[in-house]
Amino acid sequence: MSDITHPIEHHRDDEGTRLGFWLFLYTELFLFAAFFLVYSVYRSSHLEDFKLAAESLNTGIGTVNTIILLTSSLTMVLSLDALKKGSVKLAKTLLLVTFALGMAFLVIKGFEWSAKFEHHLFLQTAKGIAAGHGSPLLTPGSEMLPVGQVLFFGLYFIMTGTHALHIIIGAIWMLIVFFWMSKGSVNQDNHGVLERCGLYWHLVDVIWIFLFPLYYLVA
Amino acid sequence: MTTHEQSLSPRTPIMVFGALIILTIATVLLSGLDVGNTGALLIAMSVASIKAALVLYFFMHLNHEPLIFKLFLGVAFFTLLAIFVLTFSDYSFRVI
Amino acid sequence: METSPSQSYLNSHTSPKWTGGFMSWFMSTDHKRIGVMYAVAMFSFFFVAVLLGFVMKLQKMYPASSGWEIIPVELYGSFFTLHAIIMIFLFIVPGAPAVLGNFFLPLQIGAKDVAFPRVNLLSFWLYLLGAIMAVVGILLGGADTGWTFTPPYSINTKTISIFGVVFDSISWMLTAAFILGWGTILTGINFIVTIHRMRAKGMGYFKMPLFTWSIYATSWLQVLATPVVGITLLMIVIERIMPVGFFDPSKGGDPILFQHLFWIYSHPAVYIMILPSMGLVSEIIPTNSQKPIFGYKSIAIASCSIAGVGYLLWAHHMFTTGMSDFAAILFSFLTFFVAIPTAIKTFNWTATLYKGSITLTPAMLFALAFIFNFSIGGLTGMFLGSLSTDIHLHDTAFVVAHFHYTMFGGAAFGLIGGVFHYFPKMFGKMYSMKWAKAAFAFMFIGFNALYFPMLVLGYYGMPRRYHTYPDMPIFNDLQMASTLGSWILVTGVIMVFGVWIHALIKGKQTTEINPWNSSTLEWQTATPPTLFNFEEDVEITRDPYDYEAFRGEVKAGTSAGAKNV
Repeated sequence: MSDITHPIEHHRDDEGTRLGFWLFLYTELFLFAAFFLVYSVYRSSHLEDFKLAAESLNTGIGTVNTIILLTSSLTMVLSLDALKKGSVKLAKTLLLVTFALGMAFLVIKGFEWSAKFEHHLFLQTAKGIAAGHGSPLLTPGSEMLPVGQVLFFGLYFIMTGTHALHIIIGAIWMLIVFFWMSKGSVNQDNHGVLERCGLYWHLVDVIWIFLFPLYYLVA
Repeated sequence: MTTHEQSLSPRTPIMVFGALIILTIATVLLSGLDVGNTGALLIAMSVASIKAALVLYFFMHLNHEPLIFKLFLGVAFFTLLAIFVLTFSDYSFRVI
Repeated sequence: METSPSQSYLNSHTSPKWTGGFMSWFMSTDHKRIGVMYAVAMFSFFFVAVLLGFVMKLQKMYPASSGWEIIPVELYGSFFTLHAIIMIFLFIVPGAPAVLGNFFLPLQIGAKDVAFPRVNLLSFWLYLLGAIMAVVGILLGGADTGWTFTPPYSINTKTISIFGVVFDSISWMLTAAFILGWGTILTGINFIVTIHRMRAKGMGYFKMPLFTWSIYATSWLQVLATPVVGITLLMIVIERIMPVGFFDPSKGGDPILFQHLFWIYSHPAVYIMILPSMGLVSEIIPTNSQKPIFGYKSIAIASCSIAGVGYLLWAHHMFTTGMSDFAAILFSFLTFFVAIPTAIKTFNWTATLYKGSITLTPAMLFALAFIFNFSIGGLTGMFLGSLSTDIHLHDTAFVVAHFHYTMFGGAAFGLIGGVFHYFPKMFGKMYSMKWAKAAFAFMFIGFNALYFPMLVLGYYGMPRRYHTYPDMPIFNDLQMASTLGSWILVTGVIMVFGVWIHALIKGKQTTEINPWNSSTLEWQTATPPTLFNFEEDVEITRDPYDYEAFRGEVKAGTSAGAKNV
């Protein structure tokens, strides 16, 4: 048996790879677009409920989290620039900072979520629905939230949840790239992986840039 | 190696970051204004779009990419726009 | 076995670890092997779904009042759901791009492989994983929601446990569809980048063969539409297992919104299905007419505008759901626009035939049948796109017949014709012309005998998805004709498979490079192609369908032509 390497593998096309990765990012964008479409349709039909429900979200926490995520994007950019300049050590440090900021975002999000759970905003809807109080035709006065708020909190949990899932994937990816940088397989010449990891992280940031005003500000 | 030349000084990213923070604070402050539902939505979404454009253009280095990358972004953007506009051609004219 | 790049891809391997047997295929990143694997899997699923359809037609042979019952009514619901899920998600959506696109796209543009060979293999694995999950779901309870999974039924319906275990087969199958979706998305990304970055020297965008153009348009739809339905199906799963509201009216949701999101993908999906087959027809017709295709540029641009316009008219599936009148009028209006590029293509194909020296190979017969069937399918689509007629025809057998005229008579006929066209190049084996033409005759006659009566049945008010019908002469006769047609059609399908399998096992070995005397690039490499497709780097100097120049090249000995022309 002779050793045949694949022709594509020793011909590296960085620009082509980036082009493909951007296309992948658009699929992620369209995935969230479906959520945003659902949000905007129900916001237009249940405006008052959405406003009432949004008031229970803490704008301060949302703002802090936005700033954390924006900062992490900056450190990610600086990390890639450092690697391109050849300072692997600085790049690794900045990548760790980015990772830590991502974790901070998740911790804050976690506190926010558990506060909501304590107020039974999620489970109350569950109880109400289980007891058959979900129908908009039934009279209010039961412990059930109005349907508009059920929709709001459902969307809130699922959209921020999906976003958090992306943060986790991005963070794991950073750890892997960090490991590769330590091994030396990701370096000044071969920085494509860090670049793609960064693009992914920025996209997660872009999605949050839209989630933040829709849930915390337009109340 | 890629052919595009780009300066690796941290000046631009930090300036862009500064703009993003200012816009974030601005949008929080502006949300306190009483401009009605449409007005508030319009302000919030405009600011968010500017922020997203800054991230796409500078942080994601679209400014250094060839034309084809920008064309792809255009295709994606107009498709998204079409989805929203056409869906609301239903919801804006519902008679219930 | 000694393996070297100048050997046929059937004998040489990309992976140094797996040099033979099953694993050398399953782990292969060679686009040709991946294409063949898709073909085997997809046509197997296709056959199963054909049999499900056959049973459904058998059920409709006599009205219920005559005591005729092949399958009970509950099972009928599962049957049409499974038939559709298999046909759509496992067969026709991956379809021609997965089989012939994988195999011939790099050959047509003079590339050594696709841009991301390992991602390509991942796509196939995702397809296989999704397919296995779907089959497991079918065995452990199935679904009777229809392939559209329309809520609130798909949210509220309980799934029966078969082996004493409660198994949410609907969530399971929705997840399977989500995974299948990622398979096609990655294929789409791969093809777009391949076309942009890996064309041979001299191959400008308007020197690409038309199959490549149609794959390009298809890939964009796969990338931009599939994620929407993926997440929408997952929303149904989330709503089934968690106490949140998206589409269930009892939780404040709007089921029509689901239909919007569903059709935002699923309408472009019909163009994902049909465009590659249109591309195949655009290859087969000039080859077998031995003259340049009429209006090359307009066909290429029409492919892209079908993809573009096709994205903007999804809600014509929803005229009767209660959406606003304004939207209904708008979407009906937009629907008529897609007829323009489609008609341009049809006229160009027929104009290509004019004064051509036509050879009726099996592939050509399928291509001509494509034009015939697809014209009926397309024109009946205009009936359904008009608001007033749609009110009458919505959810009748007319819709089912229209859909099958486009998807089976169009897309699947095109794909089968494409496989006949490319078979000798793919495997270096020749099939029996006589039997292939006989198989075509059975398929064409059976197909029209099955579906034309359904157009009339629908017009007379026969609803779709119904298990039986009232005992009335008009229904009885047409249903009987339709059932008899299904027998002829299934015979034809079995014959097609018979011809292929026989050719693979006992067919005449051939190394003829260009058996149909085609002018496009994929016919200029060895039969079957070598591991890296081309021995030397290729350079393109002429238009893909310039038959005059091609004949000159053959005479000068710089290009390979057919021996017996």
